[in-house]
Amino acid sequence: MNTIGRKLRITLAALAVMLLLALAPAAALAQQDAADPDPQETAVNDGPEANLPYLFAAYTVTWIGFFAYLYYLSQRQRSLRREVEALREALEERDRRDREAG
Amino acid sequence: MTTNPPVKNALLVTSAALMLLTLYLVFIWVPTERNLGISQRIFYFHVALAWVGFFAFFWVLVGSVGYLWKRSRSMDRLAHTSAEIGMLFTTLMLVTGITWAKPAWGVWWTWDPKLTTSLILWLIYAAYLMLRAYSPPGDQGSRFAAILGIVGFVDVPIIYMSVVWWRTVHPPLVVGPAATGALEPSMRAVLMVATVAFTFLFAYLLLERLSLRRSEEETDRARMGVETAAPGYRAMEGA
Repeated sequence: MNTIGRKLRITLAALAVMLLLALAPAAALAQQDAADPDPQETAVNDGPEANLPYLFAAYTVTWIGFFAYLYYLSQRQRSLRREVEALREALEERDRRDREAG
Repeated sequence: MTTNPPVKNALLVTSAALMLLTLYLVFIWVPTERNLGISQRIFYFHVALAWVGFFAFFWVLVGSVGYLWKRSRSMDRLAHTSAEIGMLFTTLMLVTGITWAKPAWGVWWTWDPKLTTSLILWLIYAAYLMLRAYSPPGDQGSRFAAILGIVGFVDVPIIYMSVVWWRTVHPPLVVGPAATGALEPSMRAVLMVATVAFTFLFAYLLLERLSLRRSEEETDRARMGVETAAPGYRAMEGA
């Protein structure tokens, strides 16, 4: 129950972070709209929204990269824990056999 | 090298706080560059990722020299771990660069000296990690990797100076000793904050990965001991 609650909290926190990161480029777009209401004045011919997908993609890929690496680390940690547990059981089994033989 | 949990937690919290500050500065505070428009905001992550990637490869150099000099396992571990994290940063630097090149230059990629030398750096450290992965455990693999780690770092100053030495479409240097490009003070400040934020993130990832690598090595040693003493271990692990 406690594990499920912890997982839920982590998932919700990750979703909140993702939402915040996804909305960040929109704040920049709003700022550009306010600062430069006439798209003709900018050197970027197609208006302020034209390059938004590139900005969004660059930041999204960066965050996905870091989250993926952290996920990989957590998976490695989990697999190590499993292996340590198996080693402990193997040692206990060996001790038990030694006691029976002795 | 410390792996004290409070130190790691402090690094994680600091890097998260600085990252939020960076996002605020990049998307709300700093003005939009007039020529490149909104896509110029990729610059703050792109340059910071590049600098921290180079910083990571500097630690590969330090660890490799330290290993060859002292034959210290901890130095070898530092080099291996820094290379892995440096690859993460360099990959993201290349991806953000490609994403910025399309709106700025009209192409995803061009064989410009700066881009080409950056790709070579990525390939060198990809080879380094493959060498580490496929070489047998022991001194020989670490020694070869250390030599590659030292030789590979030669590419870092070449990347930095490429815009000075060759004709290039890449913007001029805006930070460091050979900087010639002008950068508005507010943009420079945001770049500095982003670089510090990524440096803290690098330090956190480095400590986390170092302690994990140490545990992996200890588990490997324990497994070898148990395999000798208890042949049924593999079957139990698979169960």
